[in-house]
Amino acid sequence: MSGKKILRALIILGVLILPLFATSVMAKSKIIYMTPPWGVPSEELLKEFEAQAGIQVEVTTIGDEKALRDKVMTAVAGGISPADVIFTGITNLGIFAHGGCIVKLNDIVSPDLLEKLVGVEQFTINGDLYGVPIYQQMVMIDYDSSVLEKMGASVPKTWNEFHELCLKIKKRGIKEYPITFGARAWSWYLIALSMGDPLFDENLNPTFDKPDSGGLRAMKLLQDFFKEGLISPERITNVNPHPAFWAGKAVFHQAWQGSLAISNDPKRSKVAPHAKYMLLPDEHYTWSLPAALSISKLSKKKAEAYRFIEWFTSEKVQRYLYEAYGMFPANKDVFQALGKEGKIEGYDVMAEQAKYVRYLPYHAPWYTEFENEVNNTIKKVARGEMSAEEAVKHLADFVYELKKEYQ
Amino acid sequence: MGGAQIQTCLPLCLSTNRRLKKIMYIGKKIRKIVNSEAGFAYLVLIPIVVLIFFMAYLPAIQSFRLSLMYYNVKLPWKTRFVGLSNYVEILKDSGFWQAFWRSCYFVVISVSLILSIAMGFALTLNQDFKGRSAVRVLIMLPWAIPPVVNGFIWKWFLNGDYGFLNGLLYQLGIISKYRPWLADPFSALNWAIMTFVWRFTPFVTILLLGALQSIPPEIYDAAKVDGAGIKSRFFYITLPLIRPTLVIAMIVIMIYSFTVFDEIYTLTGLDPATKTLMMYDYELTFEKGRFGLGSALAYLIGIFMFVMAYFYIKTIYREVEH
Repeated sequence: MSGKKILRALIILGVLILPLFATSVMAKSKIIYMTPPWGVPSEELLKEFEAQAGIQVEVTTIGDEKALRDKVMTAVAGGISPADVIFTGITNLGIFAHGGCIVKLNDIVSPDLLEKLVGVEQFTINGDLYGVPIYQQMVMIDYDSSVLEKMGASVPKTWNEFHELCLKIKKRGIKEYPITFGARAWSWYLIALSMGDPLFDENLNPTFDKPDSGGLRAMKLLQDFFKEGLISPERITNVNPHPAFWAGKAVFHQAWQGSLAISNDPKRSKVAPHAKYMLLPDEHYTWSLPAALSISKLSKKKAEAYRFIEWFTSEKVQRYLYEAYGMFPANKDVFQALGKEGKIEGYDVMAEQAKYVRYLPYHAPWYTEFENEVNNTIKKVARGEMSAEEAVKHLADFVYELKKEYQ
Repeated sequence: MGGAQIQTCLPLCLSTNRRLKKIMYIGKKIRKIVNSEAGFAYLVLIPIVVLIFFMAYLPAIQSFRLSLMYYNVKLPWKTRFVGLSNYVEILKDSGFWQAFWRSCYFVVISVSLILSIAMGFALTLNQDFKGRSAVRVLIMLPWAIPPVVNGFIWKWFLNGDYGFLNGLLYQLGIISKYRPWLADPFSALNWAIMTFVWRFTPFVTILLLGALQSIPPEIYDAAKVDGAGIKSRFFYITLPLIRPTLVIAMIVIMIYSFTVFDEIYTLTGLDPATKTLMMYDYELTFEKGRFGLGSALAYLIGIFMFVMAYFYIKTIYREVEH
């Protein structure tokens, strides 16, 4: 009887301990890659890598970059490695780098590899590289050219023309809500930057609170868009602007470099094949939301992780990212090859737009907090709870407060 | 064997013998523990206790430690002990009080709606009618839906561009154009409450139904003979007899509605209009990376929950005595 009891106890203990033991044994040739859905290579590609390098890759897909950030931060705060390779979108760069979640790659990455890639400087903070770029992504506007043709209108070159055209479209009843921009920071950045306001000076002090600054004018314009019903009030809570455009409910859409791959796909968009990029109005400036792969500071397989990163920037994987998700390759050769092959829609406008890219200070440790505040504030502006002047002043004060704390 | 050899071997043998005896003694003790009922119970419980300690208590202890520190994940080098100043900072923060009152509103409306709807359902399901079992299963369904899925269902239901509610009302001619149900801050908060009410009502219905079925039918028969109408029977028999269950249900709803997160997050994200205390805590901790402040707020919420749980347990014991 006592023997049976001991046996039972041993079985219970075994059941609890064995999986831990098994995991540590299996982990020898395996790395974990944490990414949002648009950073996942195909099964075939992963198997190819496993055969080549002898490293098995377990892909942990997290719904979006915010959720990914939460997981990484929670794990790091608890002293656990969230994954070996981490997808670092530019918006998470500051928090990951300053929070000690990812390692500096200066001594790991070969200069030859970096030479081949675009956007390396965006993932460099004070001379330290924190991520190897995998795609580039300028923020752009695309539009339904069939509506403009129907109206006999040309593509607006200034925000005034843009505004007037949208009012006409609404007045004529062609589209109830001609613009689809979300009540979020990105919409404000888009308008303000293209109005010529860099938003921050070289000391990272706000430039958007100056009288008649682009930031202030952009905030006013955004508020007018909501007030005049040019943007659906639905975009206040449901900030994703893309589905409404693809459903054919709007004419102008805050998009990204590569979005035409979806907008002009008749299976996924009602606007197809009429979607076109436009050069941003006024001063044309925009910003970019690229992504990179980083290595977790707590990873015990840094060499394997780097091998995977190197492979990720190879032609095959880069092409796959473009074909599957419309993400523009960071690999310069692949990008040029795709252009020559005529696979990039709207290449000319894109090339022109690429001349007007500014960098937002995503590397600053306080930037995520600022962006979060901008999101909250814009919702209030869109609802008419706050004036544009109050909003801009509040945001500028917020930056100074943050800077003081983070100094 | 030479005398010298015996002399060196003897202390060694004696010490080995002593060690053996010690091992045998420990073995006996272990066998004794395993053979006893209590000992075996402890042995089996150890893994669970260890797991619970690591999964629940250790993070809670770690979180308490963090609540006493300045810990901003983006400024790890500034981490330092600050005592209770995180708690003070939170209590001075206007954002906290706005979120607190929003949470209170959420709780009051949720409790009122859930209790009244669940009571109606329970009273109906307590009657004999054809298909009662099928209706019971149907009513339970929302409770089986995970909160995140529930949030997504409602997000689709209320979508201003292609949502079900708009489609339905438009087809019925009740509205002339699609409406953004969540655009107005007050209605956004009320819709968030609705998602919670929808999921939680079935649970309370079952609780109340159980209580209703424990009332002996003879009491109602006697009351009918005495001429008591439906109203009197409800207020003088049903309500007093299910009161303990009602109180328990109320406290459970209060606890859950105060800490609801998934539904609000999926429905409106971090919209200031629906920023309850849990959402505010999430924002502090993960959006802003202020783990120290976030942990302090988590403990403040925990204290409130502790008070609720105290009343809950007290009520259960009182009911048992009753």
